[in-house]
Amino acid sequence: MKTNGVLVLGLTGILFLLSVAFLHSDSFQSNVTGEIVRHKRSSGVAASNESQHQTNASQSSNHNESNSSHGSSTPVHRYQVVTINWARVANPFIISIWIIFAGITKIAFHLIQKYVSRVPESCILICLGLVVGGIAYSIDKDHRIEQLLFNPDTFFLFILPPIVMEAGYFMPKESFFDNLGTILTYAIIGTIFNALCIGSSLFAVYKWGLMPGLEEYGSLEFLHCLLFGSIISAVDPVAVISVFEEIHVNTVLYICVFGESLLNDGVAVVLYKMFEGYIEIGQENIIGIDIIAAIASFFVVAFGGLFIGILFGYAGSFITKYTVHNRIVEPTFVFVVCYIAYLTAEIFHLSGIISIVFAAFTMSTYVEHNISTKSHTTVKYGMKMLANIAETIIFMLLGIAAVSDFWQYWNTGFVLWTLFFITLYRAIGVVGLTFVINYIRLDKINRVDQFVMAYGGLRGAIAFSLVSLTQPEHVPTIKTMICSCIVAILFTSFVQGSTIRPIVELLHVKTSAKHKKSMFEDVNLRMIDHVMTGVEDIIGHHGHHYWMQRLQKFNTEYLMRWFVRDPYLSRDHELLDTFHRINKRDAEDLVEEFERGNSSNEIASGTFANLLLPYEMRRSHSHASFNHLVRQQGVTNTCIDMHALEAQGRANGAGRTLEDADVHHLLQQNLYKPRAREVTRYRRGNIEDDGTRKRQEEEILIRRKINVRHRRHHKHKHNRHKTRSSSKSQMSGGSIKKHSTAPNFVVEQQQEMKTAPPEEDQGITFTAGKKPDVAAEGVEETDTTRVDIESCAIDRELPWKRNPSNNDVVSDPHNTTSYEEPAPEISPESCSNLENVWPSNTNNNSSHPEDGGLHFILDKWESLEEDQI
Amino acid sequence: MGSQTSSIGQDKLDRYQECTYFTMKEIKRLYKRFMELALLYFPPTDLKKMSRPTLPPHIIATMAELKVNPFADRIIHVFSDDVNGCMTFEGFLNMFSVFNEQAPRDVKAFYAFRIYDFDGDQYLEHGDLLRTLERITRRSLNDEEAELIITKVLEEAEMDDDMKISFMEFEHVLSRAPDFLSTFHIRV
Repeated sequence: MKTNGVLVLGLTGILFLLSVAFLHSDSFQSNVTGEIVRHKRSSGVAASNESQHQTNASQSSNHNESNSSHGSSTPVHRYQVVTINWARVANPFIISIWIIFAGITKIAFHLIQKYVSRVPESCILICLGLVVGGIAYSIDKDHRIEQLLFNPDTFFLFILPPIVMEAGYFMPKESFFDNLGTILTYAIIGTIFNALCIGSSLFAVYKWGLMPGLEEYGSLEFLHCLLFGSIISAVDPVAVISVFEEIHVNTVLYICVFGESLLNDGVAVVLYKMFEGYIEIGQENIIGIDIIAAIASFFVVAFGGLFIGILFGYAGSFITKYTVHNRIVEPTFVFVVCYIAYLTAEIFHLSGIISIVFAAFTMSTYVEHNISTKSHTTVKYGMKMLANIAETIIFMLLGIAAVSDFWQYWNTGFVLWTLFFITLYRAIGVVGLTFVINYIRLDKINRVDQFVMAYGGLRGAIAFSLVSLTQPEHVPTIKTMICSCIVAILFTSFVQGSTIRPIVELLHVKTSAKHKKSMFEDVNLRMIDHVMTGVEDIIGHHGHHYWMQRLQKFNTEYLMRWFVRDPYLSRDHELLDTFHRINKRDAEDLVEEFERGNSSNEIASGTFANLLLPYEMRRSHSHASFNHLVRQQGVTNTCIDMHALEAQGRANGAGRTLEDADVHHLLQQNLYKPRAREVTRYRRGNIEDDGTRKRQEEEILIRRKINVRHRRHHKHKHNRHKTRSSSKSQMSGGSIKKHSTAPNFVVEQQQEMKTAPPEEDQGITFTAGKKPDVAAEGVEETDTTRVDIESCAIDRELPWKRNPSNNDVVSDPHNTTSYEEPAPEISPESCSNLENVWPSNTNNNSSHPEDGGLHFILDKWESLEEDQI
Repeated sequence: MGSQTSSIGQDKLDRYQECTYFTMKEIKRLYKRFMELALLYFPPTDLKKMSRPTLPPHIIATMAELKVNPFADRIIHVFSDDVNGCMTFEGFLNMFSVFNEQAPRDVKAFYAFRIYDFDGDQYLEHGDLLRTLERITRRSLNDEEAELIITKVLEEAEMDDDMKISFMEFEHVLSRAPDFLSTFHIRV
């Protein structure tokens, strides 16, 4: 690990040097080309020739080309084998190097995190940026690096969108809407309050003469202060995301700070534009209509952004409705439509951030239903990747940009007052607004949360970009403001950002527990929703629940139909979603268990094949029977008691594909193919897996696992429970007869599901002849500890467990022969009977017990899949 | 309605205030609402004469908003005073008292449990859950799905393997559900 760390750090260092060197040569290069262009344009051929001759001495055939293209007096160059064309690729090359650099920083950060776990990542990145910036600054006197990498345009057009897009796409919807009022209050009123207060306070302090030395740089007017106030007052989403993601505070707190930081962009941009416009008009020329126009423009900017975002979101959802046959392009739409929403909003000077957030937000609601699972994963990872990298780059560039020449306009008074006021008014704003909000809110925001909210008011790159955009002609003291802004960013990131975690721990802020909704909870929540709506109706009070239900109804009845390809037939897709999720989790648990080698061979391999089912069929309508399979697998594996028995009893009722599967099984077992031929065709648009090949791969995987398991199994023989060892002897085909005196087992077949559970209690009678104690013990133990080993062991231990037949009553008098009987007796439509295959195969083909069963599982899986499709 | 129907005696008001979690203003508001509902059924002259007006269940059930609510009858049933589902003002007040944010968790849990408990046998079993599920989803799940969800729910809540959820088990499950307290209340 340590050597790896050294290696990575070394790599980073080399890359860093490289990039600096590249940057340097690039600046040199672009300098030269810039000159060429300028000369070409202005003074014509003769002058340009001269300047080129000077630079030509150094290198580059590029110049030769440009020479020959328009030059007349230069000698003809012969054809060259290798030419260097650096200028052409310079910018993308440097940017790529930067992205890689940022990525490696990320890796390196994780390695040093052990030593500096208290410091947030953003701080380290800023520090690194400072170092890089310092070196680059000393090498490169023209500050071209800064201009290339951190100009406001690059920032707003390329770096910022991915971050906010990700934020919008993965925004927790429920808590966002639950706290919408609070968020809007903070974002709109809070930001306006902050901007005005900071601006006017700074101006007052300046007038009182508490900022000595500021006059040297130019005059400071009231509007300048307000402009600066509007820049510095907005909490930065990027900084907030990066810090609050590390400390896991509770959802309400998180969504309040986070939502505020996202939505206050609209306000900040409006205020900025407004004051900028006022400065251009001039303070004395402002009339009433300007102020009214500014207020109107606020609504236009914020709601225009919102409207464009939602519009594009729905457009994107609508497109993905028709991508069934071109799965590969699905993620593109999600990304690009969001981006276009952002750009469109920017065209009209609307709030791009609000636009992209809501575009992503809207899309995530509908697109998830349309795109395939793979595309879903792609979108998810793509978003995370882009956002992560962009975030890293932003912080590093902040550090780089901080090293520049504006520090000579430093004014201590201004900077310190700024820091003081932003902290003060943030605190006042949060406390004051919360006081008002708490009158309306049901779950009050307590003192501690307020403190964290105020303390988490981090400033970031957006403020810096805005302040860099401002022209010195308009605001003479802008350089001082840049200083102050940088200090504010650094202060909030370093001091507040790195102390917020200890403070959160110290104050015992309710942190968010890792909580996944259980099925019961979900059902319960729905019920409560309905009940509360009913109660609200009785009282004649149209509260939150009423509107939520209206919205939901509208969504399911109209919007879903338009924007989702296969809208759930059910009204309650959330319930089904939870259900899917739980199933998935079960499956994942099984995989883990399988990896750990906790379960037996049979079950493990049977499970493994089945595991893959829900992923494939997750979105299809006919998920029920697949869930069924997995469900039962889960039941039999995780708890062996009444549930398992019930599940198996139920399994018998649902046999539709039984004969089909059987026939398929028989056929496929005999027709098993040799290794699949390689598929040599290649199509860019086709990522569908070849069925056979996939199957073979899976099989190999399973085989390997089984082998590993076999070895491990033998090794740990003695550590196992006694049921374990006895079951193993059965597995190896030795003592099957031992279990021939199987217990009498009565399963009442439950056609009428309603009364199933109580009857099953009575229906099962344990009269095990051989080992009743094992059964009892197993049941007991799994009740308390749910040890999977036991359950598996019992699965094999009790033959009746594996033999739910289609008859209503199975009281097996001829149980002695049940093992020798081949597969047909087994009903193979449930998972449990996938396990059933094992014993019969053990008998038929004792040398390779896995093979037969394996084929069967895989074949069955396929046939089932076909059936379902 | 006028002043007569919407006013309660001061002594009653005080008593209500002691028994519930409401302020005087809220009680008055609820009373007004209750009288509005009562007026739908009784002519105003009769209402004046009655000392304890009761709302018959069908009055509440016929409210336009409630018609579509799947749990309307359960709400009326659980919070009504007698077997017929008639609701006095006390019952009416009690209902909102339960949904008040100050009401303790076990009170809320008790009423939530009663809403689930269709057959009133103090246990939530398969049948109860199925009916709940049907109401929630408006029968849009197919049998298998419903079955599976119920199994899952039972599995999660079960502790003593009798395949029914007792109140104790119900409370226990709720204690693991952090959202319960924050959702099961209403602002009057």
